[in-house]
Amino acid sequence: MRAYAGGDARAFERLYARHQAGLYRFVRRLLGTALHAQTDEVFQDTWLRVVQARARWEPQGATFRTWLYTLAHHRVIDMLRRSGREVSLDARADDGEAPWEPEGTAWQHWPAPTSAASHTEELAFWRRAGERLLRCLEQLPLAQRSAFLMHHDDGLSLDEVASALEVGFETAKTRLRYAMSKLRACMGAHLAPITDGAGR
Amino acid sequence: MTPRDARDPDSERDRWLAEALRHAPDANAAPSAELSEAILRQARNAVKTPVMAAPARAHPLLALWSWLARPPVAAGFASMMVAVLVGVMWWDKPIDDTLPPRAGGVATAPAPEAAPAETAPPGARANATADAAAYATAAKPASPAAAAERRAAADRAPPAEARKRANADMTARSEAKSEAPSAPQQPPPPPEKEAAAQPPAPTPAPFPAATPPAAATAPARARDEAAEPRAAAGTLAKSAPLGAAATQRLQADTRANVLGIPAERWSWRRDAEPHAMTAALQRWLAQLEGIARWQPASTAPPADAVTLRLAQDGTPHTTIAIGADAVWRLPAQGAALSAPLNPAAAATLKESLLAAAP
Repeated sequence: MRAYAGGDARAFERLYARHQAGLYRFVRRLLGTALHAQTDEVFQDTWLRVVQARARWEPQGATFRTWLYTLAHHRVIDMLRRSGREVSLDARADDGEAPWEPEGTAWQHWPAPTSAASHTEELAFWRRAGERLLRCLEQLPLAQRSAFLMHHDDGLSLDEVASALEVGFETAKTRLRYAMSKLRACMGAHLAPITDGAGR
Repeated sequence: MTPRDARDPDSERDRWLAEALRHAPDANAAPSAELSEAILRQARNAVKTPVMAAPARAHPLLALWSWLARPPVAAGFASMMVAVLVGVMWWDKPIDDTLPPRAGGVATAPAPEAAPAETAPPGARANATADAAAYATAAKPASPAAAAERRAAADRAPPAEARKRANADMTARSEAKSEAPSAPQQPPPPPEKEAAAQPPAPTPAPFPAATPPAAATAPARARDEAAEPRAAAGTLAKSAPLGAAATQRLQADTRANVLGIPAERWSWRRDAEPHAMTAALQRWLAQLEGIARWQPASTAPPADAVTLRLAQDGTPHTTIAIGADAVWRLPAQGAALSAPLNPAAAATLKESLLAAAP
């Protein structure tokens, strides 16, 4: 980024190539199916912000990726508000409840996630799980959804998630735990009957 | 293997959910080639632009313009412009006749001779301004703003006039110092219209004192007083009937004499015994000037009118007579003037005269 701010256009191309796929997915999943059509707009707007802010960019301990996801998160919030949706950044609605832990039999019969040479049946299972997970994601509050996606899909550490969401570490951790709890509940209940034939 | 066991060392990462996410239908979603190209093109153009924009940014006028274009600065600048515009619109505007009379010392402060102020020579205007400043000093303790105004007025006058005014100023200042402690504080007067609509209030003095009620208002009051003579002159010039130039000259002469000449040269009497001029009576005269709209008298004062005879250096100068519905000014030389009053105002004027000159 510093090289691009110094006038090196190729540096921007390298940055774009490195982050464009993950960022696009992040924006698309954060917007949800109802606002899929606005994905391109938000994605482009995010990168334009990067271009405009190149001279002001200071690392200040955060990586470029963290900063990029912060920009994208802000743009998504703007878009959701413009579309008339209520955006709650307070993910404490579930306070008082312990996060759900997966103990059910259906969950235990899921195929192992690390099997490198997946069988066709397992592949079909995970694809169904992926479809279901996207639907479950849309039921999450935005704050929990963004924390989960940054952490699980884009590989940001909890520190980076907290930095990107501009919240404290514990807040980010709590949001993530509630997100995972809800997703496990949603996924487990849904996949139980499906996995009867697919589980090992 | 259970999901709990299969988690990453990072206990908050669930590998099953991550795996499901990895197999989601949109896992391979990516921006279109056109979108990527548009973004990259804009990024390249942005890098080229600063080279050309750099000299323009360095231009001080453009920098000033961009600074002015910032919302907080623009808002402040606009507020200042509005304030200046309003100030210019009100500058030198005559006081509305419908307003209640101001503090006595203020309202009657020197109406500059030369009713048509526009035709008067600059020296005469400066003279009148200096008179106003001198009276403002005599009417109340000097304040910094009044002193500054007085100095400015004296600077505008011709040298000889300035010296004369300076002498009068010094005398008036010494009088103010000696008389200020004894000056009573009275509430501001009610408008004439209100006085006509209501029965006359017996106790409160209806006319304002020349001394300000609070020291905190002194600077603002001093500014008002300095501006008042010009406005009063304009009002008189507009309201005087045609052919009344002599009347206005007489008014101005009387006011200048009463207000500008040292008090020890004046005396008054209501019956037989003459008395020295007092601050209270000076204020009363100033209040009279504030409410009276003089015009050539068509009738003589009634026999039961309350009279006040003013003499200068022992020589009869002016007689003021207050009737039931009018007040007369009868100069020893010149035409008589009268001003109509409503009965309530006339009654309160009488009372205040009796209090000031028992």
